[in-house]
Amino acid sequence: MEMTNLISFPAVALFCLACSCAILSAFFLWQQIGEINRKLPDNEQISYWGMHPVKMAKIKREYRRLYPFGKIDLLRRILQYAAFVFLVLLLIPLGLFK
Amino acid sequence: MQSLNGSVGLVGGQQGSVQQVVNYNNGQVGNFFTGGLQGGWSGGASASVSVGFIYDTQGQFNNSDFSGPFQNVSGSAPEGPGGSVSWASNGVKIVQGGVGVNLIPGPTGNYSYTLTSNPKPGGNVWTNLPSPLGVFDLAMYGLRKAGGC
Repeated sequence: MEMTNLISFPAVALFCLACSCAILSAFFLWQQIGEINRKLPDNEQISYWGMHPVKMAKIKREYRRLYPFGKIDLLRRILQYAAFVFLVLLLIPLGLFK
Repeated sequence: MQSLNGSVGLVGGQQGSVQQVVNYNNGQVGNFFTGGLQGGWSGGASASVSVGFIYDTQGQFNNSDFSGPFQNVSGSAPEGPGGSVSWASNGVKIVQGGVGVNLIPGPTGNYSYTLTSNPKPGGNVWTNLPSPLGVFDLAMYGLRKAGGC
């Protein structure tokens, strides 16, 4: 393993940016679930645990229905895409293209 | 290649997977085990299936070239799809895409260092036809033999 590539400033910076964006996106997703649960009856509450494609589709559908002008989903997606962009850029200082 | 993956951890953690590699150069099929450590933002506990392609930038790929240490960068969306890029010092590079589930809702992004076992013989493209991608693999092997890709 090439340690010099791992501990280079660009690699560490991009890694930290990617993780930060992913964590912030997760926070917005949890807020989204909380906002939805506030307007749903007890027997239709969405659990904070577990994530799979069908559940995510339900969260997005319910948020769009209950908060048609809400911005949380947009913020969540922007941070999620930013995390993926930083992960792709991280490949450069790690030496994938050498 | 097809892969079944799992990981445990939130900020750091461990990951493991089993892979089946179909070599489009010689038609051989090999099975591998991979394990390693990861750092980043993970899903607490996760499981996924993925498929991908292997490239050897330093010559013709043999299944034994898939063994050894790899560096990996991976990410996934809460909507389900995810992907990873892996590379080794012997020129082998892997690009995968798949779908998975997590314990903690949210996207994931990881760097990991893994070790892959030596290949366990798994037959050839003909005996592998019953597998989910068996027909596709046979078609790709045929195209490669015919010089199409």
